[in-house]
Amino acid sequence: MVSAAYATKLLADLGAEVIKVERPGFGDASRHYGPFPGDEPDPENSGLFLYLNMNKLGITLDPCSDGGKGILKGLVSSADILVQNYAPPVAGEMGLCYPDLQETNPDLIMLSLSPYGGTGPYRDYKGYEINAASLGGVVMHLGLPERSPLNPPQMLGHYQVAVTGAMAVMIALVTRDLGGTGQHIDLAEADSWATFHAGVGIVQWLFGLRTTIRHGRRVRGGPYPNTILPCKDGEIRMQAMTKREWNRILEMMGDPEWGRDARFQDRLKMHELYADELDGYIGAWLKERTKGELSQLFYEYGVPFTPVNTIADFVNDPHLAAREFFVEMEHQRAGMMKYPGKPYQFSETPWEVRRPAPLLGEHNADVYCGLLGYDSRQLVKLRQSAVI
Amino acid sequence: MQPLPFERIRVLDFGWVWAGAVLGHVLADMGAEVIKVESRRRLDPARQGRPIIGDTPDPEQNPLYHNVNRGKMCVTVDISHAEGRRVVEQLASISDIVVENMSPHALAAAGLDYQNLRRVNPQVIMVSCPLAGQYGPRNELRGYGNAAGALVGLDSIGADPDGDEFCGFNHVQGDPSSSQYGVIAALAAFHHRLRTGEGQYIDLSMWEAVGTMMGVATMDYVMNGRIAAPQGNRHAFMAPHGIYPCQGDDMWVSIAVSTQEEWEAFRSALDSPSWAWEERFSDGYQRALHRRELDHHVAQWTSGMDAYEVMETLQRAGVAAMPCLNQEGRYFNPHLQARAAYVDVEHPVLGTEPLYGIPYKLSGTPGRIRRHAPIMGEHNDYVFGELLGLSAEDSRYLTEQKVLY
Repeated sequence: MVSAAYATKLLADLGAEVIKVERPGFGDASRHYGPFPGDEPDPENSGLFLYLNMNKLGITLDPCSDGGKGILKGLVSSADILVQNYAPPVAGEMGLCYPDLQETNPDLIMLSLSPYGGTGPYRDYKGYEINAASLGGVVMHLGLPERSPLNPPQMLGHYQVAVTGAMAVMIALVTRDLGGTGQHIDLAEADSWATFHAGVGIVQWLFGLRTTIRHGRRVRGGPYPNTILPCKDGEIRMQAMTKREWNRILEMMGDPEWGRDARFQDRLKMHELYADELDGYIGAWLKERTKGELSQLFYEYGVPFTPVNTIADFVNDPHLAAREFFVEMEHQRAGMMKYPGKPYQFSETPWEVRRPAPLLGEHNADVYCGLLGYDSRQLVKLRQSAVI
Repeated sequence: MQPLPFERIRVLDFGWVWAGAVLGHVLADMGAEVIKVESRRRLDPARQGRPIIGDTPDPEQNPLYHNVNRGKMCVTVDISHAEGRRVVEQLASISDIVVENMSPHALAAAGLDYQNLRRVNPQVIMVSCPLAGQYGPRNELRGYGNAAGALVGLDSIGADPDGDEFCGFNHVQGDPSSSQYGVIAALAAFHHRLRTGEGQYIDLSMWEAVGTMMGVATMDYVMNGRIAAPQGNRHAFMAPHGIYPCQGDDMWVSIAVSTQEEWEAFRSALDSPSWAWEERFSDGYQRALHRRELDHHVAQWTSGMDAYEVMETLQRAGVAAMPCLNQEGRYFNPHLQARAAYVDVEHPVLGTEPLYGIPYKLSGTPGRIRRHAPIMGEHNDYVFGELLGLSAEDSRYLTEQKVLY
């Protein structure tokens, strides 16, 4: 729904020809997820699907049908990369098994995304995003003490594993460029959280630096401050790691008396022993100012604090507008719509929007006739027998 | 040992703190020769912090640094010196990829931005990945990984909807995510260079990288003007879907039930308690409507049990359940162990330490953690002497002048 689709979107945005294969009739689950304009469900108008599948061609195929198996083989032999996120037992049933596919195409790079991975004692266990985030540990960072840990919002785990997956695909692709062959990549959503995101915590715990997490506003450990405090009209996220930054904070606040207090010179101790008192001083100063005023002050003084934005602040941000981060695109059903855009800008090669997300089966004729060489009569037959 | 796929790639690494450093370690794990440039004049914040052994500050004891700089070499150069700049130019001339995440004008001030480096190496690929990118009205914005989450709305959406206090999204999303986007970009540029010989510059912003992950909330705002609010563990259509208390101190288990088939399996696994047969829990729509009452029943069932016992009971029935693991829990978890999520690496100061492993399992070229994170200046002799051909005398002189410092 999200993970495989986002991984291939990252490749499509950089120019790859991505053919999205969907189930005949129903299509990708994200077509049914929404959000929908006016909250009216329409599989051709789901915001999540439209975002994740721009720049792709779309075909329908039932790979488990008799005719479908041969078609899958044809598609695989023409592809550089195959991405799928079916649970390991299901992927096998569908014929998405690397050793078999590699016989068809020895240079094939195949990425398999799953909650727990294709090996290990939990490989056949059932899992959704919240379960992968639990095993990966990230839920223990989120929420309030004494209350339940929280699942990351916005299906972040699916996006996260997609980015890690696209990165692994690029590693495999460059490996192949340098003389290697194709290979299979097994990537678990839980592992993606447990390593890059929560992995540093293992040594910290083992050496007694940080044993507990999830303290509400404040992040424990490290130098003061690392917290969120309210201002006049919202919340401010505050983290400063270096002495230089701390000095700039004091300067911005008009060099207050307490800043020279002998207790407040070692910021590790300040965080451990005096954080409440210091939050009181800074909090009182913040309370008198709005997010807008503070943003300007933080920027002028080079203080690494930021306002806690809403999604509206994010979408309407003038800095992102100047960088043309959001992109606009016309879609048959949804009309002109704004989407999150480029995560990076290349000086010589494009990141570009070429086409909106496909309607269900929109490119069947192009792909089946143009790429695989079927004639229109065969296409009708495939459609009638529900293979496509 | 099997040769690694990227042994022909050399990376010049100005990445510091977290995001910038991850880029280099990912390439190092695959065999790239990554030369990290640091200076005692301005110590990497990831080398600072409370020492683990003794009381005096020691740049060799920070676990963050050890994780995100494994497999690299380290040289010390003060780039504010003209001679330091020349040394870096020489290094850039023999490198394939340059990585940095300083504020936008820092390298330009030292004459080491892309425009200058491409003069000594037209094929070089350079990735810059600070918070706000290279241009735009807020391009000098300072902030750490948490700031990216605040800017894109993660804090406003990730808080606890039923708590007494605002807690935000206190997981650092910015660094570990944006750095992986950086690797994608660097390798895409490298792939392009192999075919065309053309180098290029990549302007990556941590803010934007995390912003691309806000799909549903952005689209709902664009389509319906709705401003996303915290949902906690509520799911759009799954119920039960949540994190429930278990036996022990701060022990929890997550459970998610999607289809009717899963609900029936869940009910049987619990030995069919009478509440599970009530009309208000009979189908997905009803369960979502009465999720609070449902959660209450589920929590009552889990609270007497060990989290692993809940997992085994439910998974046996085909229902998704998983313990919520803190550091200790993850370190001892048999599945994460089987998948080498944490790998013991010998460090000369701290001894054996479990660094995070490589999550993507490449069947042909899996890569490996080649060595511990470097000691400050550990590879000055090799890099300046062998790679750049600097004489011992010149090297000593530049060290005394605090250029190689």
